Amino acid sequence: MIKKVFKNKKIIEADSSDPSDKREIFNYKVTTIKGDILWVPHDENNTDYQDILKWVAAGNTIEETD
Amino acid sequence: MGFIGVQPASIPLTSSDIADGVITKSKIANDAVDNTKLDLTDDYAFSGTITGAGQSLRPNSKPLIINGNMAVAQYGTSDTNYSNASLVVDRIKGIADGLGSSGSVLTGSQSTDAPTGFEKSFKLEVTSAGGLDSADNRFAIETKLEHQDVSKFFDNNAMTLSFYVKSSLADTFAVGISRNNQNTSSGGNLYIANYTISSANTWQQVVINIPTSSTTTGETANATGVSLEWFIDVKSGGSRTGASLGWNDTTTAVQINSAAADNGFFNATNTWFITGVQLEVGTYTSATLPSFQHESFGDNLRRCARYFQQIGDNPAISDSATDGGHRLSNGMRGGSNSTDFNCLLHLIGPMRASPTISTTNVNVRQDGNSKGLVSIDQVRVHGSHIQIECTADSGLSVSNAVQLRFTGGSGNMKLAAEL
Repeated sequence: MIKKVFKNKKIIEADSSDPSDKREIFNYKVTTIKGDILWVPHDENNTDYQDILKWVAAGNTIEETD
Repeated sequence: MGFIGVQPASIPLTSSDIADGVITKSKIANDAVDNTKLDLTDDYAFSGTITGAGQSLRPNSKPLIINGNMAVAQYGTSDTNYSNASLVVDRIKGIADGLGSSGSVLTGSQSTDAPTGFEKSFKLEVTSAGGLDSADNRFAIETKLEHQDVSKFFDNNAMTLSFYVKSSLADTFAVGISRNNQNTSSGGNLYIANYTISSANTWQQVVINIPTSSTTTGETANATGVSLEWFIDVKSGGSRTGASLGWNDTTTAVQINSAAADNGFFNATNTWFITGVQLEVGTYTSATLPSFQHESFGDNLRRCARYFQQIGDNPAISDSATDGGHRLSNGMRGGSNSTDFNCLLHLIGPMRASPTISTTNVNVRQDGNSKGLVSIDQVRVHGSHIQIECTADSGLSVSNAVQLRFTGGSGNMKLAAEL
């Protein structure tokens, strides 16, 4: 059961030897009602991600800041 | 035959002495021909179909149900607050709605109480009696099967579900077989059966014959194709207790037949056990059902690991992280952010989907210094190993190795790709 969802975004800066490596990555930090912390990938096949979508459809909001 | 004078010498009869059709099939006793009268080294032409006990149409040597003997319990052997989405025994999940405010407290555990031929079972126990809150509230135990593993059998065949069950409550219970994302208006997408615990606290085998379902809309390959649910109880008065026995066409995937509703399981400190879950292609009775296909523990664990793996403290794989300092993986600082690093982890085998990760008592170690693990930012799956991008709570040195480390007691990293 989801209590809170935070979109965990991060910019991976380019390495000086590989400028093309700069990219943004993200996943979801889910806090459950039991207090567990889950790091959920943005993957439609992942059922925890599917639960996030249902949680949002039920009127909840993914937070941009933790 | 009588004779006069010298008894004639015995001459064995040969096939040429007996005219065709003299010895008919009806003149041979039913038990007269057995292996001792057959030349088992010879070749025999056979054009029929082998049917009956011991035969099945499985696609391979593995049972369709994973961990049907409840032997693998990576999540732990007991959960004293067993509720919705709880797992103890691998592949067996609790489905709850409405237990909380009524005060029912449940314990789910792996038990050594099992029928002959099995060592383990899953046990559900009401440790604090309560009840179901209101209409449609329910509790069930569920296992899900991937579409690519099982749906094709339901498309074209009758199926048989068998399991061993025991309960302190001698009453009627329900089983639901739900086909995910199928046509809900024809062909049958939800099969409902009832079974009765005929004698309290006594193991019994339940065999359920499931006719062919003709709905074939289909799901994607690694998504849920079929869900098997053992309903412990459902409260009547809503929309979830009106299904007919047999195949139903319905958009309400979670429902049962009214005869199994309101059995009062949660009103007292009852117990319910299950093991030996078996799903077969074809129609069988308890007498003709193929034997349960016992796998080695290792084979069973590898199949469970497609859905869940726990690295670190995990009795199921004899992995202990109770001594702080054990290393989980090696990695390197990444990019130019001083707190970024990534690590590679080896897995038991490829998982069903990109896994959800959680950690207990894990930190970051570099050059003899400990740092906090702030976040796990991305997972990249590469078959049997994964790359995880992480953030530490303070700067890391360039070019020196970084390690994820268990800090002690029950340290672990969980990777879940459950259905």
